[in-house]
Amino acid sequence: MPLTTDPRRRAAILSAPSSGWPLRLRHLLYGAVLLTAASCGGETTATEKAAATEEATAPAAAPAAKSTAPAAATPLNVSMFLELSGGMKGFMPVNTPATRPTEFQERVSQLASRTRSSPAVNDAQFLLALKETPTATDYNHFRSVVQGDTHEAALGTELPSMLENILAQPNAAGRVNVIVSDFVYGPENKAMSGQMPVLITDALATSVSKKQLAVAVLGETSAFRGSFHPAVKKKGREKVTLTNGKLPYYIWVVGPAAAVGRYVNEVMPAPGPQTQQAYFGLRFPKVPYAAVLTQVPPGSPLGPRQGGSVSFSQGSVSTSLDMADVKDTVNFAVALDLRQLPAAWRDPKFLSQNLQVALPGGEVRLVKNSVQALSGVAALPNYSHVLRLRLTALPKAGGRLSISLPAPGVPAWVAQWSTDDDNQPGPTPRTYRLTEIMTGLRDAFPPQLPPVFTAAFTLSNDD
Amino acid sequence: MQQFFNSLYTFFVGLLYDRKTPFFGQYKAGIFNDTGFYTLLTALGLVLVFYYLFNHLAPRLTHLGLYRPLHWLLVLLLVAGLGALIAWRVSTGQQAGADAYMRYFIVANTLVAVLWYVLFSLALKWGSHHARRTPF
Repeated sequence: MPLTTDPRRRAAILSAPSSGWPLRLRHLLYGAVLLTAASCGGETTATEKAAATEEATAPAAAPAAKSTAPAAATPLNVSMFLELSGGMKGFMPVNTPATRPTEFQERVSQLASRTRSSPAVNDAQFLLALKETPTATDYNHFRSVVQGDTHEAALGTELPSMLENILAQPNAAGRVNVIVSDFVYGPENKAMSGQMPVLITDALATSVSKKQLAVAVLGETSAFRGSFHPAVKKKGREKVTLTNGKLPYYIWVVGPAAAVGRYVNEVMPAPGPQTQQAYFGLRFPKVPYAAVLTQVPPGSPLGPRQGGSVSFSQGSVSTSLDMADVKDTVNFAVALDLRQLPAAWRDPKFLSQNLQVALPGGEVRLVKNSVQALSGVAALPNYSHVLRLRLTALPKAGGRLSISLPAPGVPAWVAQWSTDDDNQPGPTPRTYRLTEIMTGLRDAFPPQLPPVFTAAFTLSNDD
Repeated sequence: MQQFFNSLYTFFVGLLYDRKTPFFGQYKAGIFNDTGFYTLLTALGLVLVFYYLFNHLAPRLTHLGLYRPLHWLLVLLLVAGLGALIAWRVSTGQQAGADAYMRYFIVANTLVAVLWYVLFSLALKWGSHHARRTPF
């Protein structure tokens, strides 16, 4: 052993006066220190190896999370339809340098411009819904129509046949169809006004229902200067001339679910505070999610709370979780990436009210008001929202925990925007029997819609 | 072997601390196993060094007379310290967070290291020339 054969070092040890330990013992200690160094060295390499295998498995897990990207990356083909009837002219007055354009003009020209220029859009067509069949036009003409060149305006067709004609365009089911209209529907045959929902549903039957398309409805209000054609026509008031009124109009986006979701998020300007939204048939089969356990350091507010414990079954981030002491309440956070969802469904308040958590045979609930938007959390860069779950019972054999957003029905704003008599437009924007129109739209979809998204974990009981 | 170490440490830490940690999956996936191995080997190594290197094979060391129970006890303390060090190094090395569970795991491994040392001592002391009767 070099420790004792090296005379200089031996001398150093012998001459060390400070330690009161017997010399032999000190030799023994030196040997032990050498051994420690050796054992630690071996341990480090093993740790490095473990880290290396972790790194090797990480990229394998990443494509699973990103697999939504290739599907979403298919370029969109968009057809933008503008109803050009007499009743729409008031949204598109001719402006002078002294007048401001209406909100309609601002928003629709912006939408058309973005539809044409967005990198997400492959092919953009612009059409005017004048008569039976929509008339194709070019972007420049479309833009000048929005800015007031409305001399072509025709009498217009009734809402159901307009929708039917638009969706009967060649290839309509594969494209994103953007329909801009005031959606004022007064059936010419007065007797038909009792069955508006059915008429709307029937108009959408061959396209939306059969081909399982999705529909996004955005409700907007705009200044209106011109003659308004109410659905309820009273003697002497078939037309109401408004000089400074506010009227609602709607943008419907109809197309395959993934394409509609993408168009609404990536191409459309962000919805303003007044914009009302409703979505039907949108589904997001791959929403990335993860339990927040080892990603954050102990004691972080996002980490699990004390009580029962929860951990990833295999140590690395996965959807299988081990639970222990569930009777003492397991409380942990789940991070979700909801950036694909439309804005109205990303609202934490909406999510708090509508998310459903289920665990057959056990007890779990969403902690009240725990849904929050995530931002600036370095440990969770790929997630947009976080929520907290509280488990108080779990069957011995484990179970499947699911967090899902049930497909919302007709939202509450529709009733507020609806009226039975639109002959006298009031200060608040109202559309004649909007509730019926939207009910008809809802009924074009199956009564039981699958959830918008589901995040599921496999739980096992580790007690 | 992994199964054995997992049960061993779950049991020992469970004696001291009735909670688990979010990093428990990592402990089960590797930390228990690696720590268990290194601790076992360290205890075995130091038992061999004590009984066979110092008190059997090398005459120059044997003549130092390091066979008394006090010497054995000091090596035991060393093994205990190394047990704590190994537990800390392995668990931080495998990205476990420094929480209460880790502290109790370090304490548990200190006890496990001592346990291995005592067991190996009892098993292997008979072959040693000078330390056959250490510690008793």
